[in-house]
Amino acid sequence: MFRLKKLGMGNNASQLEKELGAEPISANERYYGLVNFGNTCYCNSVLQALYFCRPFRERVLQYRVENKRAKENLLSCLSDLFFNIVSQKKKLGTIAPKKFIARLRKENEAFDNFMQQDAHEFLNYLLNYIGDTLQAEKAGLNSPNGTSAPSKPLPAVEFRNGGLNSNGEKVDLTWIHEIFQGTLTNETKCLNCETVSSKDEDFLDLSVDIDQHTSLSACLRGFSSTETLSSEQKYFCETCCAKQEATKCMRLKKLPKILAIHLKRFKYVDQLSRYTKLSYRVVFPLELRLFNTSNDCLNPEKLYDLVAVVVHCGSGPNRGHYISIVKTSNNVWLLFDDDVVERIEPSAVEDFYGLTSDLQKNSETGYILFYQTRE
Amino acid sequence: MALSNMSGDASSQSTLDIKQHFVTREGYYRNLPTYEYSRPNRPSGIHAFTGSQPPNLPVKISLVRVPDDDTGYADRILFNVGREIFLYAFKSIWEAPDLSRPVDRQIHKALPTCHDINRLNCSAQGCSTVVGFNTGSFQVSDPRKEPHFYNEDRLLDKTKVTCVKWVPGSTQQLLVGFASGQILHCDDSLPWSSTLPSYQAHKHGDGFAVYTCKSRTPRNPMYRWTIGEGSLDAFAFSPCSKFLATASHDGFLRVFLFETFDLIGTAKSYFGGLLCVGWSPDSKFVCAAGEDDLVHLFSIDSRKIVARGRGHRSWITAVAFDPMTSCLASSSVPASTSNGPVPPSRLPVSNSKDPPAPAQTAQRIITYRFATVGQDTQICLWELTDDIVKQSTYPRGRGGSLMINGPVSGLSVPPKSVPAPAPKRVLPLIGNRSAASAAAKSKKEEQERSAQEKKEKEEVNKAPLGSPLCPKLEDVPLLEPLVCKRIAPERLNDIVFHDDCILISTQEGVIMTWCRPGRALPNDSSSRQNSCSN
Repeated sequence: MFRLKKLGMGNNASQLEKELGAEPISANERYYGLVNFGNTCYCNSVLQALYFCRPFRERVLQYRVENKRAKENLLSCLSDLFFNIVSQKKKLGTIAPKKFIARLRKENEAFDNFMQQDAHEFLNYLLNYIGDTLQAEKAGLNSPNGTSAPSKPLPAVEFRNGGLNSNGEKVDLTWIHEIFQGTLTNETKCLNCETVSSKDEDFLDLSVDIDQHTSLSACLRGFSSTETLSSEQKYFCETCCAKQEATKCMRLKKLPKILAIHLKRFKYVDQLSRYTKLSYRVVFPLELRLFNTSNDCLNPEKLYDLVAVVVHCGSGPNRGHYISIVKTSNNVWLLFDDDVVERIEPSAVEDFYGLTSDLQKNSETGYILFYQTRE
Repeated sequence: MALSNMSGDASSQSTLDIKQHFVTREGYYRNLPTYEYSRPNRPSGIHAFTGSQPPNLPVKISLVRVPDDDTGYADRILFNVGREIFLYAFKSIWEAPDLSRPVDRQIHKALPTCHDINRLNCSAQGCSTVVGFNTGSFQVSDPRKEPHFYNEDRLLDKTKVTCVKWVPGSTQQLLVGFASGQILHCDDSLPWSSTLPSYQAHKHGDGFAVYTCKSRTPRNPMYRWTIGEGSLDAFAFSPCSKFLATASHDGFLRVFLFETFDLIGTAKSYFGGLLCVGWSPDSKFVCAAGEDDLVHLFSIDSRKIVARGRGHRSWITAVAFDPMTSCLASSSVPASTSNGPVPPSRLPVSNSKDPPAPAQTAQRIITYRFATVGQDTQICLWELTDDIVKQSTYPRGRGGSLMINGPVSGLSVPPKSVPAPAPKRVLPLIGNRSAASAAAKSKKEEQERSAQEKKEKEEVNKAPLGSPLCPKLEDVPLLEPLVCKRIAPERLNDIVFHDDCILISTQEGVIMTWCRPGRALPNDSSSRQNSCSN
């Protein structure tokens, strides 16, 4: 745990409550830290960020009402946890997500240990799990029990792509897809006959490569930059019926309501035979529009607001700590460090952009960014 | 596990791709490492702040030219590094600076964030400076008296000072901008009250308000402006001194007639905050840039964005026009005809008491050269040419169609019979001016106007995309940079054009001197062969 600023909830809470009380009374929000059950900060940070993605929170809470008699599953545990938070009398406090963690460990053996996990992997697992569960329920099946569907090994996340539906095919859309799912279109242009073929692919989050001294926009543009397929990578063109040189470009065709962007900060270094962290400074704005949309994109100029960031603190993927920063409904920024809640200035968001020199080993860097469409 | 499997990792590998020169059609620009300004005794070759990050505050440059120069180098350069402020005699490319002998050096408790030197009273004997700090205080110093700190008690504003500027033509008046979105217009010769001044509304409009001190005798602050939402990141006076342009974190560029507080133009970033703003030498264009990685060019004549530029890979921190390489129309074309007849209502300059400065109207600039620097450690040089401006300017003097750039969503296009096509958003100008001329207008009218303005403000904040305020990407020309080069290992903070060189500051506290083409250095023969005749 690298954050030294661990203040107890005690004195801090009353002060914070006072500060938050001074804000205009909004949706009667609750701000609850989550107790760490031994390296569960990867889970806590993602849950906090998702809690402050309001469309998600609303649907999760609704699930509880609609599925009262359902068998316990990870989604029902999450729904109970969120309900537990919103039904608290006090504005601030701490909650132990015991049931959720226990269920998570039961559902997926990859998380059934006390090791540090990857927050993005967890997010991916959770969103896919919820999608599968809802689809299974929709299909009239019982909610998956511990041994069925989502317990298969974690979906290996392909390069540049977040979670696909674990079946890899289009099924009924559930609310998880309504909120997080966007569509990428992969356009390949044969340089011989100039035929463009495009293939669509759905995603729940985008994984983008990063570079030193860049902005999120630049990374997203890099994600959609045109690639030339030549020599050994030649593309089989069906019009030419032969292998041809081609250009390939991946752009966004449908923009999701909540755009989750995963910055690929962990990189495998061959010489070291391990993953290292890229602490590059990647600036992300509070307001975002995308440049890398396809020509047939329906609403390419959607304006997004940053609502939450999962931050990785430390030097590598298997050590360190996760925290999250979130924007509350009255534009106050809060930092959740497991059970600790702190208020931060909006300008302090820039502390999590990253580092510009390699001299420092530890860094606190934005890792997963959640942008929500402005209504 | 989703992990990066890309091998391309050029930026962190080395400093090999950091350029020491770049070429344009006028020739060869090169970095002169021995002509760098920095804090004295900076460990060379090593990271200036070993083991830690450079301080988060940008290094800014203030430069003045001292015309009356009989004592050697009277030009002055002022810059901040960490807690320190340095003032040096500026020797351009004629002599390498002696960093051990600054004219002035100050170490402050608070962190300096911005500064300005007064152009009027600067001489080899001294100059008036103003320095803003992260605590909200600002310091005014003058060669004749002790430096004085203001707002040390943070009564007037608690947020950091983001920008300070002397009011053109004054040795006493200055503007101080804050992260709260406030600008204080102060006069160093007026008294300051020790309590929080009570303000009264003076003027307000679309997204801004101006207040004065409720007092029988003049006192500071003379005026208090509140502009936009969130931080005010930068402001700049036009070279003609008539306009004030502001760049705010709410993404808005606002252009005011400084004397009358009239908002004459508004534009918005594509998304995110605007961080810097700069004027063309003829005061006809404003360039603003920031968190959308784009540069936005705003025309004062047509009151809209006429072009954007894309080249940076991160946020843009500073912009400056280059008067030296901005090309003038050939002298055979009389300026009056080439400029075309301009309806008086469209040209705010003609309404003011002073005639426009002759130097700015005698010759017409047809190609504007400007430069931007950013957090991507790159410099980009841009050119805005006449034909690009024409491409996106409204037809003048005729009742032609208002939008030549395609339909505007949400806004109704006025019928073709409207005689003077003016963008809808400049309405406050007319409203404010009539109110100013007839001071005794009824309060009701005033209220109606403010209601109207409020409504407009809401409209503006809602969805300006696709309007002249914020055209869609495809609706205005998208420029590509002439030159786009990585020139430093760290973020670039500021850029200033000088006759012989370009000065660029980096986050590490270095001010690079880039020699212009064709300038021969003393004892340097290599520069001649590198220079280019055209």
